Amino acid sequence: MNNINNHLAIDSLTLSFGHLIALQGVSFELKKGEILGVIGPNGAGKTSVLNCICGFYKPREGRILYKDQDLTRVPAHDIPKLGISRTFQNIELYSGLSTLDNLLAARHMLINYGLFSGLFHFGRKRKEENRHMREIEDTIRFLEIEDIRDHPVGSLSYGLRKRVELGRALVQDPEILLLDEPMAGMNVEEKEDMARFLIDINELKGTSMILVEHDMGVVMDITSRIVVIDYGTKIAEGVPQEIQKHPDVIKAYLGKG
Amino acid sequence: MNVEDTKAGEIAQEGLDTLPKLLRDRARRFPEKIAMRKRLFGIWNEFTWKEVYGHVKNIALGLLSLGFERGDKAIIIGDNDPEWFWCEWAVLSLGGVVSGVYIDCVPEEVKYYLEHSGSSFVFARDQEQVDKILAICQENKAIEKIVYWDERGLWFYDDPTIMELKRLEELGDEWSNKNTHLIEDHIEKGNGEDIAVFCYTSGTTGEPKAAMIDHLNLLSAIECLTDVNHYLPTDNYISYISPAWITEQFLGLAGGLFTPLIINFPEKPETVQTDIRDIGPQIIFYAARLWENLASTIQVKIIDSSRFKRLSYNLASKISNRCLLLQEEGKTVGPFLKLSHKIADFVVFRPLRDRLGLNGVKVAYTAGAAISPDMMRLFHTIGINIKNLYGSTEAGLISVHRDDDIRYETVGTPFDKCTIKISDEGEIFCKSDMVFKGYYKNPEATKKALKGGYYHTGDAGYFDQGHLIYEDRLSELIALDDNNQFSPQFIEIRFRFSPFIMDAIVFGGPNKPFISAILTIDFENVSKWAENRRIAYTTYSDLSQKKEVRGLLKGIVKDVNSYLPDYSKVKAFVSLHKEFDADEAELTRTRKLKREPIERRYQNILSSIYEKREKIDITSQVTYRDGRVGKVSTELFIDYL
Repeated sequence: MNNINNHLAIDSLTLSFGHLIALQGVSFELKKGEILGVIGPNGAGKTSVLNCICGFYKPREGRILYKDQDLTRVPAHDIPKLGISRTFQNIELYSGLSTLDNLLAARHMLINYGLFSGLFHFGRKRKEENRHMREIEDTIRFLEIEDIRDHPVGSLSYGLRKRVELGRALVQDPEILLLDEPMAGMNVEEKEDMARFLIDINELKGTSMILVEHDMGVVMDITSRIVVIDYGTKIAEGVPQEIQKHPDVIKAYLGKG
Repeated sequence: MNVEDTKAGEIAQEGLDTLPKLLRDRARRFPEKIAMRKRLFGIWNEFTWKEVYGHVKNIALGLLSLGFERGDKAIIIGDNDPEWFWCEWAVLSLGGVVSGVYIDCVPEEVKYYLEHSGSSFVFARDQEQVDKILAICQENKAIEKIVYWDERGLWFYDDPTIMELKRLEELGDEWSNKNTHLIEDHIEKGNGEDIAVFCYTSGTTGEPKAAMIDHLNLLSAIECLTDVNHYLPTDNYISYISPAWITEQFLGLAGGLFTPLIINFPEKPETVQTDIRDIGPQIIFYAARLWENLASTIQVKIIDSSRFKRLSYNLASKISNRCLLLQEEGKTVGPFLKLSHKIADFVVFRPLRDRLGLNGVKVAYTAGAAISPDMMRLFHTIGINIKNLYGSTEAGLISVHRDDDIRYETVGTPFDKCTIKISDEGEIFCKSDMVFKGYYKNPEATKKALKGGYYHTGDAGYFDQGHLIYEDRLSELIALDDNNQFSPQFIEIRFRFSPFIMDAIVFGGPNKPFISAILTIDFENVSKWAENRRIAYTTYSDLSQKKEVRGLLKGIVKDVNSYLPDYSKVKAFVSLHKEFDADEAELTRTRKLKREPIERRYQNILSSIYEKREKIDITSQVTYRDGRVGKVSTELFIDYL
């Protein structure tokens, strides 16, 4: 469990809502710099895993180890500071704010100047602000959303909002990116764009990712390993080729033959 | 000399007969003047002439270190960026020749340009373009280096033929220590009659031909324009039309140096609207198609706005039109009308122009294709001084509207330096310093085009009280049975004035008993129109065949017909199930219709029209960007009037 390559280790995670058991003894590891796919049928508990990692849910049992800390004991609002950001399945942006403002808001936790210098635009405040703007503009350029910089997010197309949402996770400089169905509801072209962005982020910045996704083609193409969850338990883990042939996985997806 | 005091033309041009010589002069004389602005990361980055010259010098030295020799050819493919300009000027400094390529060209086209021009160096903007060239590289071994300037997505390419522009500049910088005067010497060796650019004619027919343009062609064109309008060195120009087109070579690459203007580059093509608003340019140049789009947008937005705004717009238009009419007739505008016009302008048109970013515009040009007189009137009504500029790749500039002498139906009066002759067949011949030096590797075509010392434009036209009237391509004028001639374009541009019509192509002539039209709808505007009327539709092809939409089109056809003489009235039309597309060779890259390929492709539609059938089943091929070919089948209705 203390392997140096392991970035994040999930150790026998059990989560229940009353009598409903959402996750039961799920364990897997995320290695540094890899894209790990998490797949499974609807309601299998994929999103629950992400919610446990980023502290939305507190599991009944089990630990999530990251940088010598147990994340299950860290409050949700402190988790991004540790370098874990996420995107949501249903876009959660400020729809009335512009793209730029949404990204700025996401960086607020990295802003550290006091109230006093904040009142006046000089010194540390000015330097900080410039630095943050530069980071954000880098992300805007990276994601090729320059033309919607000042558009209110609510007026954007679904595909673009998904991209802004990814941008919001990116500006937090994460070491681990949790992606909850980043390609749901997109057309082929948008999916290709998104897949390209994910690969570029992974290669350029070495960001590790946990990708929950329904589109098997995408998952098989861009992940290096896959974890399969069904009815709250892990039924398989391995490289995409193995997973494709795994009898339990086929059974979970296609039913009993 | 203070640059703000100088007027174009007053700046001595002696001895500066090539673009690189001009550039060196600008860098010496106005080192700290802003030459270019590029919006990047949301901020306008400025480059002074000294910096620009520095970049050009380093790129040129870098090219030399890679073995570039005088007379070598290079291709540039990309958007309008300062880097395009630097690379072009660098190649020209070394006595090379540049061919510009449109970014949306498919790989086969790029391959044709590469091989035909014999280029060994390629400047490609980004990953998309580099990928295209790398694919060609597999067969074409003549390519020595591919230089790119937008590194996104190219981080992990390890092909030895590709190199980042920054790296090339570093190479040049290292070299410059050893060879300080190398570039100066090369620039000095240049001559005004050296070929600078190959401009591939968009070619509405046949294979594209490479028109050879020399430095003097470029410089005399911008000199002509400067004679007509006084550009100031403080004027802002937005570089938006592709430099693969001769017009941007004249205005941006030569004009930017000559005046010298401040050349502004949008962040990317999609942001041009906001970028224009930021800059508030004094000089603006759009292709006819873009003005048409802009006019559509204005019309649709007005229709969509509140009743009060609509009323004010209509009232203001009426006042402004009255003034324009009086001025055209040479009458004086009364004080009351003058005052109301001022108020209308202040209340309605100023904010409208501001929205479009066109408030500061002194000179707005349209070129590339004919524009309908109604369109000209619309822009003049809202206070945009739009003028026709007529010319061609081979001829350079021919005629232009002068400030106090604008007639909407003409292409203006000839430039002083351009001699025009109308042949017996009604073809426009011209002679000037701007006329090209011939087609590369095609002496027969050159001989044919330059017979008798004049360039044969292939355009039909005539003079009317000093103004040149452009009819159409000579080959496209159609003789009707009863000895009447008609120009399809004359009708097509009137169709395109409607915000609901994207393209129109008109057929008639021998074997065709009446005139018919194929129309394509403007999807955005028609879908909005349909939504307002609660008409449900699924796709473009579905919407195009809706009874209500065909009714809308019928109304437009009737309206256009009311301007036409009986023999050229449109009697039947089809609303096409798709837009015309350059990827399918239906349009040129500058969005001109290619009549012959379209006629061939839609042969069955035309025959059904003339057989007077009511509808027709059509299966057509769709070529996707990645080269795949798909099939679409639909039922098209034919409407008769």
